[in-house]
Amino acid sequence: MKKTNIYENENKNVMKPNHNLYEFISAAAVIFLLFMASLLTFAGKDREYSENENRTLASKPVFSFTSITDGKFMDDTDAYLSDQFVFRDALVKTRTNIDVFLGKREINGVYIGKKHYLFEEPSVYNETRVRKTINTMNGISAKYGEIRSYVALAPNSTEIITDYLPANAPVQNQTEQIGKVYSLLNGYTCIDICTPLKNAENPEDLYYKTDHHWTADAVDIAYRRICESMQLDANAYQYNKLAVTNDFQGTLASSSGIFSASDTIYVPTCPSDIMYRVSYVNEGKTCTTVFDQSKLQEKSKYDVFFGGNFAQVIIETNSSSDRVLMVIKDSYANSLIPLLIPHFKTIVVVDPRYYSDNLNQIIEREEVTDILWVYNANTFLNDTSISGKLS
Amino acid sequence: MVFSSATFLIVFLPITIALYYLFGVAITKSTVVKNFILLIASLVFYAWGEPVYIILMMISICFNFFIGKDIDQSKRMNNRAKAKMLFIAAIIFNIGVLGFFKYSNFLIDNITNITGLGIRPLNLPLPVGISFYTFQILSYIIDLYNGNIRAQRRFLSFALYVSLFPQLIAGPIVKYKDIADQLVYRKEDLSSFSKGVNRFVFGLSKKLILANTLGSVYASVQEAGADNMSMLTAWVGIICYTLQIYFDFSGYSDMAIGLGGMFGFNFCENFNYPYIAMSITDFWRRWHMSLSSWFRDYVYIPLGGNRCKVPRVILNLLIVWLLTGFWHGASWNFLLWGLYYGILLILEKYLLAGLINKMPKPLRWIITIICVMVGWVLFSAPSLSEAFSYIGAMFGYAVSFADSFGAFILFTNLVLIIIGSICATPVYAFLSGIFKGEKFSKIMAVVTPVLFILCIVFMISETYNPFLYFRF
Repeated sequence: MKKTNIYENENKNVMKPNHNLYEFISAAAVIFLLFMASLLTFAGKDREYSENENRTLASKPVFSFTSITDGKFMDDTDAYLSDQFVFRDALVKTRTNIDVFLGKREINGVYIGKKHYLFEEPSVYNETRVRKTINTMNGISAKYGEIRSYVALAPNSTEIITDYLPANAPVQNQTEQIGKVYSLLNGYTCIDICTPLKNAENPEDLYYKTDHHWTADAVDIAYRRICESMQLDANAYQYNKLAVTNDFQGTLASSSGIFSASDTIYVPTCPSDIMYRVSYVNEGKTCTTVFDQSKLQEKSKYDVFFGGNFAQVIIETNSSSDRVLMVIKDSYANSLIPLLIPHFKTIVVVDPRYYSDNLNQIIEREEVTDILWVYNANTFLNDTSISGKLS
Repeated sequence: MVFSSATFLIVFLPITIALYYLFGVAITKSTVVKNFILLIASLVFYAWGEPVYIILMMISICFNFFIGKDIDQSKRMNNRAKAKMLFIAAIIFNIGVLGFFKYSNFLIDNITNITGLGIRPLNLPLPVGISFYTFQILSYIIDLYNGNIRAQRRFLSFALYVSLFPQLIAGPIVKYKDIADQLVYRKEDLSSFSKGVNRFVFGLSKKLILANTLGSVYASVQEAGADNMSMLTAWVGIICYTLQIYFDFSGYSDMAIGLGGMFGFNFCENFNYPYIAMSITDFWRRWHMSLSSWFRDYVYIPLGGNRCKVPRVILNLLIVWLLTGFWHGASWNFLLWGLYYGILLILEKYLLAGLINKMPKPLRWIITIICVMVGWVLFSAPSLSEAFSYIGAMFGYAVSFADSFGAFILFTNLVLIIIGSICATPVYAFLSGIFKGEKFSKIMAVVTPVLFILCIVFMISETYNPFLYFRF
């Protein structure tokens, strides 16, 4: 047993002359790199904001007795030094490239698919969480039986662009998940969005490559399907698509750190004879468009629709319809609602994640005639803000 | 502070090296100055993570320095009773402090569970490194009492021994007798400095490139939960954890030994390719060697070791291994983990020795590594019940054979797992044998700096933290 051979003895050197020289050279190179990293980091000007990470970077820590004893000074210093580290963005990018090169296909909850497609890791079906949401939803339809109620849950890209998913990526069957939710709902017309999206000719055009939202193509399909269910005439109003940006790099690009592709955002043009006014209730702001062009200069360009998510937005139109629609929704609805404008006298848009009161108030105040829930499956299954919004 | 942080690498280390070599080595050539610089550096290093508990460490240093001197003096005056009394006091103090901070919560929880008394847990955070530096101090006190060493007369040297930053928070557990001379006199030279730097880079690479990435695979398996796990998932997870804990721990030891070398110290080795072990006995000769040797010298041998009758030896082994398990952490998992190894070692020693020797080597290796992996499940699971259901999943109890999650994490991390597995073997010595001396040194002179750059890449990218308020 006690035979020594070169395969054992972790760190004995079995080297010959000149070995020391090369050892010295490599050590010198390392020490040089160490001091250079230190020097360049401290000589460099502090960056305030990181475009890639979409956040303010840590600044010089504050030195005081309390910040030392409670350890805040140390934590802040660690954060400051790594945030301001020389070549930070390039280092992060190198890491992502190494990971992908070595075969990694999931980074920060993002699947790295083929042809530059990124996918949001799908949510699991949590029985208790979904029950709570459903109870509130069923409570509303029971209380307001005379109101026409609709639910449209959109699948996510993992369900539709299956060809471009990385091999073996663990996905959820969202058609099944959505079906399960629909089977628990009472008093609702449940609109099947999955089937028409799955049957679309070019499924890869239905979602952004770099963002978790659906594109104008998917919205068009969903819009037609919703119109059918709600007895609206989708062909009564023609609209055109207008490309507003082609360098959109969305949430999935940011989460994964993979910025290898860009997307184009299209917005629909409104029929010329339709006029409307948009009121942001909590913000006390009124305007005549649902688009916020200024967002196209920022990172989160999808916010061009409505300028993002708000608790309560009221759209009043000159439409001849006498229906009042309430949309309870997540951000998937933001790109859909512009198409619904001509069909309603008033549309009240409520985002329960920001709206903290109960929904009864709005339903009664606005004399709502139709309720439409629009969510994507991932957000809906994770939602905890709907439950309890009924008094 | 941790070695794998920007603060350590670009502030602490360059400043410490510069001050040490400028004032300690070049200008004064005085060990006192060198020790002083290292002591200050070590205290800053410790205070960085434990701004409050550093006071505890200083109290411990003072107490043990003075009581050590008294023990030594009593022994020289042949006052055995007094020496014994002081010795017992010192043991009670050190074990008491460790027990109070490390084990009181565990004790209170269990008393509450058994008796139903509503004692409130103290919920004290564990002082970093206390298990390591307490054991180092104990080696000093015990060897002193046994007359193996003389007391350290310089406070500076003793304080440095306890607080020396390279091995302060994760070992190796350096016995005082092994390092006493170096505290008084040591010579830094280019060769040991260069070796130290290279060794440090190897350790840093093990930690940042291998351990952290493999660890994230295991974390995702744990997150998925043992309830809906396939056999494949369970195995991929535990293989990743097995590699992670080796690279994490041995990487830390490498960094400690390397840093020691940069400042003229020569620390003991702590790992010797544990995963090529051919038996559990062999594994423990290769894994965390400084801890096993500590328990052998200060617990097992004083209990009588194996020079007693068989039942007593078995008892001794069980005591040592329960303590070893408990040293790793205050929970039933660690106790069971220790007991598990105690039983395996006893079985190997008394029942299976003949059988094992007859087995072909590959079979011996597979049995050993599987036993080790099962051990790591006990070690890493958050609770005993989760450990058991994980082990159940590994052996196909009430789970499917494979699922897409298992296949996904296997294939997307396969290269990493293969690289990790290769690096856990003596591939370094093997390659240096193939390339013959100088050529290999030339290659390593390029590879090591590249590894260092990769370490920086991995270290900084871990702090990538995109803000996604627009996630909705």
